[in-house]
Amino acid sequence: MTDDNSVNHVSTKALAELARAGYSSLLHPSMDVDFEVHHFRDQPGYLADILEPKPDRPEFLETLSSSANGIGLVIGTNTRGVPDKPTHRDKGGMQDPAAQVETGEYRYVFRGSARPNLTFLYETNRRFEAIVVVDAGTGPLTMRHATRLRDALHELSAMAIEVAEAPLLSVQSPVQLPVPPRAEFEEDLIPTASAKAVRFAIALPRPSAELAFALADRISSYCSEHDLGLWVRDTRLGCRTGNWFEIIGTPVRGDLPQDEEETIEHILPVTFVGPARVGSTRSIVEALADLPHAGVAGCSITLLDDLAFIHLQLALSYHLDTELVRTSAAGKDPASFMQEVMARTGNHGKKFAVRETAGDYQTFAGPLLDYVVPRPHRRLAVWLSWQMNRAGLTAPLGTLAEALADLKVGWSRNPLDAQAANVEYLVCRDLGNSLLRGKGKLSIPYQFVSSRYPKKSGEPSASQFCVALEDAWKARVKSADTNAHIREITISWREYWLGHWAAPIA
Amino acid sequence: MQRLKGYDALIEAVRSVSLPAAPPRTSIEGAAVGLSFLDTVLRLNHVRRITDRLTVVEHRSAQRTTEVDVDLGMLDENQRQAAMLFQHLVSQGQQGVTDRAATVWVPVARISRRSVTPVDVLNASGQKLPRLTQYETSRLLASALFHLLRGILASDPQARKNGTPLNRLLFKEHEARWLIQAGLQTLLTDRNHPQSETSASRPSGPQAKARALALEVLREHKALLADYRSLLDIAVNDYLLVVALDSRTDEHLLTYDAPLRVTGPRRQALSLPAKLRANSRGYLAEYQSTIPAGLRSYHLVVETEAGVDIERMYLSTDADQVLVDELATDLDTLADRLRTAQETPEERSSVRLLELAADTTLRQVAELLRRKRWDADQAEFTLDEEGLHEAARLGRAAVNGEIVSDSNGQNGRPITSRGTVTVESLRSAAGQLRRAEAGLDLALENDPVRSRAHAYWRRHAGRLPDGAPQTTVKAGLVLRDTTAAGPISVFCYAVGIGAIAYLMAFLLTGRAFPFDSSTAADFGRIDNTASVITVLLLIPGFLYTRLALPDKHSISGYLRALPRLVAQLCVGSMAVVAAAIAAGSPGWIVELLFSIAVVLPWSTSLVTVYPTMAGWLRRRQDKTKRTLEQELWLIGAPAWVHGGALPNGRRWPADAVFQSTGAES
Repeated sequence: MTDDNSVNHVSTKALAELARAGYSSLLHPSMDVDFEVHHFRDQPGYLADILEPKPDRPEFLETLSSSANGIGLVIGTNTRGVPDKPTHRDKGGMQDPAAQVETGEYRYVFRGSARPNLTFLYETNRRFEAIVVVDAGTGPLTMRHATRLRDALHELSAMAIEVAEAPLLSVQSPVQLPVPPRAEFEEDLIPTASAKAVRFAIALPRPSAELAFALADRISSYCSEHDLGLWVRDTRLGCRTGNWFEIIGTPVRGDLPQDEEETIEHILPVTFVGPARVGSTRSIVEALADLPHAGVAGCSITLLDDLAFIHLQLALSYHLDTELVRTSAAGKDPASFMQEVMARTGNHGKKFAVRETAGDYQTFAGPLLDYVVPRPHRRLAVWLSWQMNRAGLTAPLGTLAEALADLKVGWSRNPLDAQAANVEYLVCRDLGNSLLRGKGKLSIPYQFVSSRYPKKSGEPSASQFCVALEDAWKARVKSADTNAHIREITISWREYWLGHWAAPIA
Repeated sequence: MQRLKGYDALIEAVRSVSLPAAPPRTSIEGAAVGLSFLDTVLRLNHVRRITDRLTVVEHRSAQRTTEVDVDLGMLDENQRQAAMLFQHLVSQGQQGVTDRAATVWVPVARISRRSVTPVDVLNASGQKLPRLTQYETSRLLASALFHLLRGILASDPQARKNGTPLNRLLFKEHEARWLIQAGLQTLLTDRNHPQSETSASRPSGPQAKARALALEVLREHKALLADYRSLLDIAVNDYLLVVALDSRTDEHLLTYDAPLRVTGPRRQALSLPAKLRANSRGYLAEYQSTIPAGLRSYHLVVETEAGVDIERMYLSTDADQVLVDELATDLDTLADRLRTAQETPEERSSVRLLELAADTTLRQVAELLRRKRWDADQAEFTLDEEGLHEAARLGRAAVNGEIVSDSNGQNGRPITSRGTVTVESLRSAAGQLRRAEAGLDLALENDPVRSRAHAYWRRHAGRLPDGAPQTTVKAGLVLRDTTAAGPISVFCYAVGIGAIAYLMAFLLTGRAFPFDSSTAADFGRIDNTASVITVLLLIPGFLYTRLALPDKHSISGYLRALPRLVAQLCVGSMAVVAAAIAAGSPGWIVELLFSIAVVLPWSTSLVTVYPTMAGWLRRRQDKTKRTLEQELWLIGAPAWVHGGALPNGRRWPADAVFQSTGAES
């Protein structure tokens, strides 16, 4: 932040972004941003299902989708179509309108709105990115992993505000580990699609080596102390998102649950939503540390339309009353939500304090779901990117599903299906010019790819599959009757091979 | 007097306007349009190219016409909607709305409010385009900035805490909120702005509470409103040039005359060195302007009056300045870090971080110097890297992959012990980048066509500057007088006048050397004074009219100020002699004046040819011949042109500096 008397070095672009944010907010009757959050038991094809054009289905534009540990998440802002019911401030002008909750057996859908922080201006190309590796092994997630992940999350969110005085732009876990250069020739080296690691990006308010050093030093000493691996984004000219530079070697633990307390029984997906502010993630994670026996099994933190979406998979080693989750699922503030959870675990007197930066956030929790132990087989990460106009995600993902079917890979309702393709991560944003740019990561069973496309003439199976899928997708897009103008399609098993415009998306 | 910044002016307005009893009228749709106009004018994503046409008319006088290539197809969906929304707003309830639906209102530039020159925008066929009045634009901006302010304040956590000043202002004490609204509206729509603060005494009277609350919120949330303050500053100090365009065509070429300010020496009539310099090096004009930070392409076309040629022209921008400042600071940081690492052995992770940061910075240095080298090649000179040798060496090491250690490869040892990069070399490179003005680039017009020259600049591919609000453009021009009646004709005239005076003195006295003590009597006894006076006045006067000296306000007149002075001295000296004869002055006075009329023209004639001779001699002697790099440096090109090392002496001062009036973009 600029103090009162300092010269204000604000770039023209940032000022234009501020004016644009103000313009967008005025288009909404209450100056709020509508959003929609889906928590569900992961099933490949869920995203495609909700995108199918039906009268009661919304049209997704800016979207984040992720799935891990058997739990899926879809977040969309300014979704079109539903709800058509006008929202009104039934709690007075000072509060956000009440959120609507639609609950199913394995699926909760929340629809609400929140006031965006219009001054949240951070250049997307100035960022410090890194991957902290908890365990490179493919074994099941234990409470030990989840606690490590929670502590790492706490550390990096604290570091963002204490060192850089800047926000976390995105956090994602689990993620794919960096692809070694030799993987081109030795396919066994291609890392599996997701690993117990957390990838994050912190905005750099001023691009300077000094600040980058300060951040890197702090996270590097934390990783050394806790025996974690660390990769930072390769910032050298010619490198782009997906190029990583190893700082501390990757640990392989293969931790197995030693006792009952070590086993993750359930996972409670929780999403906190509120105006994007510097330090809001730290406020939430800091308060969560007081929850007993609760780790973080995965997380997806992102900013859409100047709103912060902090999605955490709370790993619990005990059973929580589903009824409680249902009653507390409706947009309470974080402190009240945590207090209720504590009360149900017997700690009635415990008071939670959430700092002001996230104190007024809305909390959406549930349903409580079982942790799904991943199958031991390796899955190939297939990165994809595309560009389109603001016509909704139905067309690109519908054509992608058709292209996958052409290659005899399909969505499957069973998350453990060895032949199923799954959307592990997908983000679609309007980067300021009314063009939507999407980027995602599919996971495909590696065995299927290698048997279907055996390595020949030195061309790896993964490359053959990606080329085939890209061609099939382009062909499907060409023949599709859509006005989405989908173009710049790229598919690759290496993230840094994606189209150049995909760089700032995270 | 120092002008108040936009936000301080708002505080002053809140302090000054009367308290409203009802909410001031603002339009939400107008606010949306205003914000979109601000977004468009700051981004200018629909402007493909800007061409400035500068016509140097006479000394200290130039006209500038700006051409803007607009592509409506590059407006994004929001901007296009807002442009059409405004058309709907102004067409409400009127007939023929469908005809007007083809019109979109698009901002194309910002003009500083300091300029009062009316701006006419013409389309490609020369027709004037309708444009919004300043009042209409200001109303839109006032609505826009109030709603934006409210939106920003409402998202602060304090807004929902009962009892906080912000909560009271937004939800409870409406007069205070209206007061800010009224202050904004008055500030933006009034013709003039406050230039100074009134006494900052505490508000008093029955309405003091609301005013004090409004001022308290504005002061307390200054940090939160940092970006808003910059936006307000633009709205307060600049006008948006919003024109109506036909939306059925995407491509539009617009032109408008943009005002220029002139600085530089006003009069140098009696300054002989300055005249000699202008004769010798030519007329040096400088043009300074700013262009939008996101603009990729810029043309500058310069034309001069007939008879004045453009000998050389360069164009330089500070597009890389932010990058160079960052690089120099980073190099210093790296030097500190390397020293620490060498003194106290660190963990491998720290060394890896250092190697990555060093490689990142040095590759950027190499890329920057590569661009400078190619700039020099384009300008047909070779970049002397002497002044940038350390930066160049480190850059080469980075490009060759010698920075990052690799346990399996050739770079086995870490950066701290390898010796390629040292603390001293990093510091030296940082200093070199700063001294060599490496943040400035160069485009040179080497072969101007007589009185017309143009320079083309294109932003290099890569990231757009983050910190720089606008890019500063500077152009330097050397103009030469090429008309036939140059110094040589004045030389001949002066020699001729001296000869006439001598001949007349010789004929009057009958002596080859007519100026000694014995000839005074002859000068006192001139019989036919009328004829002598006629000869002394008529012939020099006639010849003077044949000299065709240019208008003294023109560039040629400035360049030939010295020959003009010489010619005037010559004809003046003859007039004085004639006056003395006519008045029947004593012989010694006439003799003295005759001698002056001979000596003065002959001696001053040498002055007129001095610059020509000096230039010729310089060209003959290779040792003193100026290189292109030296000349460019002298006329204001960046220091790196001359290898980063400054030659002895100072740069030539410009004869005139033309500046755009601040914020055109």
